[in-house]
Amino acid sequence: MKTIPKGSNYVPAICNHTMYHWLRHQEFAGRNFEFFNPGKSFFDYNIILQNAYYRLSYEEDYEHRSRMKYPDDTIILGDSGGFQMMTFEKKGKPVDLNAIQILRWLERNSDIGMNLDVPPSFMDFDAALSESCRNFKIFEENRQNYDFKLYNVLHGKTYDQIDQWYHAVKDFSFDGWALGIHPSTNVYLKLVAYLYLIERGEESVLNNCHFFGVSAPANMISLSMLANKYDSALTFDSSSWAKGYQFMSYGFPLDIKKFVSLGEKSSDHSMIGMPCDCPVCSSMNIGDIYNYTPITSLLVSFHNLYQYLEVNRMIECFVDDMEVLPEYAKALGEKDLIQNVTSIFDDFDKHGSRYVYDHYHDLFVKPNNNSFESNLFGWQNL
Amino acid sequence: MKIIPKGSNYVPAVSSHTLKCQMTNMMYNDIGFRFFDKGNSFFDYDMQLINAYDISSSEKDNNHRSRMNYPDDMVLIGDSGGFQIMMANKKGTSINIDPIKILRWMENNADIGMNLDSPPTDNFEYSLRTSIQNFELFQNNRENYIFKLYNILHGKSYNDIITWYSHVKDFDFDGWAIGIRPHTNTYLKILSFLYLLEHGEESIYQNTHFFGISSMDNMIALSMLSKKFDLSLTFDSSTWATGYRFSDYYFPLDVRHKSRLGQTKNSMKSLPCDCPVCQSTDIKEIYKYDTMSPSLISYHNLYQFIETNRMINALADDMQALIQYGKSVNENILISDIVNILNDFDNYNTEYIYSKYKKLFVPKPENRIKPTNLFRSW
Repeated sequence: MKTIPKGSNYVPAICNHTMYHWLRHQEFAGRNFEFFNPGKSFFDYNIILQNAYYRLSYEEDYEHRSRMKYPDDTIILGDSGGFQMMTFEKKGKPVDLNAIQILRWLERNSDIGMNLDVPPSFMDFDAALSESCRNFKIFEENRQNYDFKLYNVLHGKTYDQIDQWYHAVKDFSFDGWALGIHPSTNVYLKLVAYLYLIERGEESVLNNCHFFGVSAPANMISLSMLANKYDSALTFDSSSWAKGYQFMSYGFPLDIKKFVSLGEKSSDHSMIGMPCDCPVCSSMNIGDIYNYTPITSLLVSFHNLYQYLEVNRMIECFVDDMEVLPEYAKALGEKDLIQNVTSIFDDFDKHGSRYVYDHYHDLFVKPNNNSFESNLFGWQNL
Repeated sequence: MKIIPKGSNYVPAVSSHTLKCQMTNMMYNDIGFRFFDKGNSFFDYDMQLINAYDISSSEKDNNHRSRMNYPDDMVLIGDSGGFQIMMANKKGTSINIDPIKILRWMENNADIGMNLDSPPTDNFEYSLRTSIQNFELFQNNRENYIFKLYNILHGKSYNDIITWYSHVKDFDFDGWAIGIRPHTNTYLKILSFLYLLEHGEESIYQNTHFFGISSMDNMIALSMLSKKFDLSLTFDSSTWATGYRFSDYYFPLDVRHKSRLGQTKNSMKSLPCDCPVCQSTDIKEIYKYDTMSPSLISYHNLYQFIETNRMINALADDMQALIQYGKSVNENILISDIVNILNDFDNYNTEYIYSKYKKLFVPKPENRIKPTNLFRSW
């Protein structure tokens, strides 16, 4: 059974584009893109998230792990694909996969798997919860592999919803928790959800907790502070780095907030050198980007991925020194975040999660004006 | 005669601390601090600025270049030390200065030298008068015409610039160094360059230096300027070397924000940076605070300044990319202002620009109309 390293670990969600190149052992400048093979790629990394739905529906990739020959120390998180399945269903393209098929794929290929949830953003909250419980029961009753870890899933957009969801799913026997609190920009509610689980004695979250679909600097900082407070090992994933595939979006070095499109039509091809010294950019020149060969978007995406990994690593270093971290947060325009998270932690220790939610109510609801920091958009009016 | 590369080139001003490291060939994990010796240091760079006054007054180092064994392609810029002399005078410290000695040092050692100016602080006329005396001395006593000797332009306003220029324009020098103050007045620096261009000073295309700047806004503005006129320009600062004095550690690729590692809890477990210096260093080495720590921190900083400027120069070739980057570092207004100023210069002249964008040049915070880059030490 694999152990997640202590701290807050960024997990790149792997899309079909990346899989396409991995399977062909694509190389560039003597390096390949399989970063899980130490020393062979532009950089090394050994945690990834694969989506069971994608692997099964596109390629019937039942034996993914052995097919890919991942090294033993590669940690594969398996997302069940609940979000993707609902997206396709909503588009009128029902998915010909059942819960057992997903479970078997997770058991066979991943070290950590997520239950097949139905995110409440797709339907009425009660219906989503009921549907999710039905899947969780199937997973619990049909599980065959107890070496891999299977995570329960928690959803909710308010404290009461979190409470309701938790009470409906808490008695399932799983090995950890995945938090799908939405919107992804609601940094503080994610923390409260985690604190809520701690308060309920869910000790598995200390070493087995995953946050779905987040990677903004505010999330990285707050999760890093959370992991530091509880000496926990947690993971979070996103596929934002892969914007390079779709839009040729190139992130500015060590900046995961701003991107420039280097696409064929959106760029005037006038740069002469690469504006970055990351291991990917150091191996190429700007002509490799402007040529728009099939590998171009791969290079751009891997440049982005390196930025996400390195920014998170940097934050993980800073979090050990609470005098340095606030300075860094100021540099990112996240000055208030550190103070808010610190205060939330202090108040949680003294008063509990309900108090925190009520006391910091303004942080959890959609702001009425523009005076709030930039990570508070896309909210539901409460 | 050395040619400055096209673009806007950052030149690290090197202090006696660094010179000592370089001179003694100090090593850390078999890596040296002589970045001009290719492949022997954490990174390669082939320009540095040395203060002739400092070095000629504190050490008998007349043959600095050969003593240091600089490679042939190394570009050494010699600052005459006018600013340091002015600061010493201001503090009431008496200095025994011999301008000819400074000139000879630069002729012997530098590829580019700055005239001995007296930067204007309280008394503009006195500074101009003193500077002219020194410039005459330099012009009349110059022996080396292979190295380049730059004229100097000062001023805190458009009128100052006009006055200073009218008095120094007839000296026979090879380029211009611009010392417009305060150093945060990015727009006035740009305007002074345009003023020189307007007055037919063609040498500035290849030979211009901006004194003592390295902030993000200056890097962006100078990069846009050099792109517009296909220039080779240089600018220097010693800000990176605050690692020596205060253990200031700049955040990766951020030349604005830093943490004073000398005053923190020393609780980081690893270095938060993947630059060539940090990759070769352990955080414990930094926390030791022995003789090596300040050098390592300063070289980390220097890499950030060099790399940030390199990045900006790369992005400046693509205005869409530069604008996005400007947004990312909150300098999008600066970019838009500079674009407008440069466009207006094509159609009008500097007088028009100074009048139209007056509020950008007025040294009073309450008059500022732009939020981010106009409220420093005016």
